[in-house]
Amino acid sequence: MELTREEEEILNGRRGEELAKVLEVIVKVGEALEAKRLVNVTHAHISGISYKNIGDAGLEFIEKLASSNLRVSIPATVNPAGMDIKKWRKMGVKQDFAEKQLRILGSLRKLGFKMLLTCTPYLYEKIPPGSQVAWAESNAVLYANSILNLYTNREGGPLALLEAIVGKAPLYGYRLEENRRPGLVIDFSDIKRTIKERELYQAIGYYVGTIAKFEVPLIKNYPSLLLQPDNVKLFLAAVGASGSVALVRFHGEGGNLERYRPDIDDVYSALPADFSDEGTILMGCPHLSAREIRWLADIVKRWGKPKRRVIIFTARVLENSMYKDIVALSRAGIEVYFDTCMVVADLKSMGVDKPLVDSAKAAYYLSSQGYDVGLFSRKDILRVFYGDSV
Amino acid sequence: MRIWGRGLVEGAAKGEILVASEPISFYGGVDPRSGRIVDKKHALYGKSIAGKILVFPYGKGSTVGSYVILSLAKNGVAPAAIVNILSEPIIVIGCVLAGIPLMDKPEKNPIEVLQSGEKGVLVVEKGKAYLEVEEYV
Repeated sequence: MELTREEEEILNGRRGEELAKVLEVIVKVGEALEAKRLVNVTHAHISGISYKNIGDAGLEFIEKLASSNLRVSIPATVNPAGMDIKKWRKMGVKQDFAEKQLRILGSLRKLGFKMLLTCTPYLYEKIPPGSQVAWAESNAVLYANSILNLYTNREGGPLALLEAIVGKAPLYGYRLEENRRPGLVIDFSDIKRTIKERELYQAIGYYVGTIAKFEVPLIKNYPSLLLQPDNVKLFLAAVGASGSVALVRFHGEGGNLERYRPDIDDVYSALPADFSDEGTILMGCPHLSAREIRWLADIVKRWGKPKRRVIIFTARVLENSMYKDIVALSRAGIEVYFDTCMVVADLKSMGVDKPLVDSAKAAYYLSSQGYDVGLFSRKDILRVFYGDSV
Repeated sequence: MRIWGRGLVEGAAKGEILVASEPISFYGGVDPRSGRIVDKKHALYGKSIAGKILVFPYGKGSTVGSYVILSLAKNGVAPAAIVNILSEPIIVIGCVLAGIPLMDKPEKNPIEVLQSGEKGVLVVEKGKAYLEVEEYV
């Protein structure tokens, strides 16, 4: 790999042994991926910070980094942790787990990370279009590449952490224009109306990820409501769960590319869980936006307390800005958690046996954790909240 | 028999060879405490990778897998070395952080020419690497 003089100097230890080691890892990964050089990145977002996922080895790795003189060199944010940092006792989290989770967060703070603790950094961080960034959370990576015209690969937790320190990433994959061209077309002509009527945005997202695998999909003839920010958030999260692709194209010509024209059974049969009305309702994968919090608050103000247990997950930054709506939700008996999410927290300790989710991404990850998961469409929100009485 | 390849993480290791013909997801697929493969759908289900020269095509699944490789090393049950057909970031980062010698792009398909139970030595030095098979089954 071609290195600049500055990079050579860092590798030679001119700016300290610790920084040299960090860059060495990034260069190794770049060589494995046959990157020609490194590129400067202007923002980082790291995943893999839940103690439930990374364990003592992850804790030690992050603490060791923080005990050095290394700090992040660019604005950098973090994904949800394994618990709400204020209300963890209410979640049934044990003292030992909480202490270790707080140690991870303390070390990340010391390294200079902003404690956003959300998987939706794209709703809060202002980054100019066209920027190269280092993001690790799959739904955020898809949103960055597909909607915000940012350039990132699915960097992976520890790599993005090291890239945040050096401010550089290997130049390959989705960072290069030539790899952002569509490789197949998925045409929703035959089911456009059904998608719109049943609000199947997460479902078609999951299908797209399954079909696309490593190729960039160009999707066509979808309902325009798909591009509403909350719908596209659910859609892209599902793409990221079922596939390895990091970019979806919504506009353009497919030319002679291979075409798929699914019927509704193709979409349903790809899903990781069946549609259901049973279970504890979990929402917020990805984290609910301010608009979605307002929407739910309006529902409970009009219709009252849900008949079922409802738990929602969102970003801490909304605790203040959406205060009134969050109070309304809490009064209606809805459990609101910040800093964490249904995928990285321990649902068993929260007394959840059968999750009922509106997110195909959550359905996939919770199924793989062994839960018997049901899926619902947001079109049916009143029915799943209140039964047939509404 | 000596198989040359590309050296990604330097070091040398000796051990029993364990060959998987399918990819491995370390997160959810390998128990970080015991070093056993716990993915029920995997052909090596129940087998321990501890101390082995582990040969598999490539890694897959969540990038948290890098932390699982680090956990295996911390718990003393990591593979002695890894040989891939093509290494992707999860495996490269995990091996760099855990100090596990790593070779990929072998000149011959190791999944076809090697058998589990054979003993070998993997040497990775300055970008060059080879696996020497010492004892045939």
